[in-house]
Amino acid sequence: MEGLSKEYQQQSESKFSNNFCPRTEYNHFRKATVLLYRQTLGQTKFLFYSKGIDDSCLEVPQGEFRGVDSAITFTAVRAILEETYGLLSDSTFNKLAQNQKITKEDLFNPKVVQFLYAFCFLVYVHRVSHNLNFGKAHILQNG
Amino acid sequence: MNRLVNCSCQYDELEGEIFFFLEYQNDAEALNAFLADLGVERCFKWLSIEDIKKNQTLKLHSSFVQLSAIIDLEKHIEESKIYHSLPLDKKGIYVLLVFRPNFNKGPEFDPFKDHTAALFYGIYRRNKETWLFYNAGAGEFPDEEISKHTKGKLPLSLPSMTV
Repeated sequence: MEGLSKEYQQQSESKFSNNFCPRTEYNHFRKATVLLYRQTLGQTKFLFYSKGIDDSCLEVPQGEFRGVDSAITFTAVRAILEETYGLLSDSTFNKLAQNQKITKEDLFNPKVVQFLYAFCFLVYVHRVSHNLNFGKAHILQNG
Repeated sequence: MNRLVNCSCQYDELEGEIFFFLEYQNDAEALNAFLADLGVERCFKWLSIEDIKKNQTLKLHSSFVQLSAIIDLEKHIEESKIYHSLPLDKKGIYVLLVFRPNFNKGPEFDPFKDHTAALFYGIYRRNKETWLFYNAGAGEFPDEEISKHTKGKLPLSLPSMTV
């Protein structure tokens, strides 16, 4: 525990060494990969999918960062939706847990997701971008 | 989206790539059975590290192979859990403070506006950091204990700048 804490303190000291967060301190990831896992009986398992029933190529959701994503979190969401048709969403999860049937209406069409993304981004640029600039310039250090 | 916002384990040390670790409990067989009925060409499979080591014929996603060669995935998940169980003074706490009086009250959901946390966590959050979201517009503020141990605050949108 001590080790973890010291490691964190070193990171945080370099990250907020002055009142303004330097540009180089922002995350600039080009790819987001989502690893779904579960732990049962002391064993960790990861969820993979193949694109055909007999396919031995096992994939995990991964997306390349695009301008429409605006932040890497959205890239990860897009990757899950596009790669798994939204099957790993909470709504599908809840349906399965309650033994309800999944229908085609529960699935996302990747092309529709891409279109909605582009549309939402245009709206976002108009409504939120000034907030982003304001926030970036005002990282304050406590004390 | 909410699960990614609340994601407690990520790996961000690899140049240009971030890995989100999300806990998911669903049974793959049930999911596959529904998919077969719907005619969707996806087949889900749970595999442990031991299963992967035993079966050399599997062609795994290159990013997974690369990451599992660099770090012990199980240990990384455990370390993140240990971090989140640390007391406040041992954690790296950052506060995202917004002023949104009408937050979540409108009938329409805006994926960008209503996911301010996802946007800023994507820009700033690194592994073993705790980011907390407060809406001052709804009277939410970090308590004294959290304020005392906060390493950084990101005040976002004053009342005059509210969209």
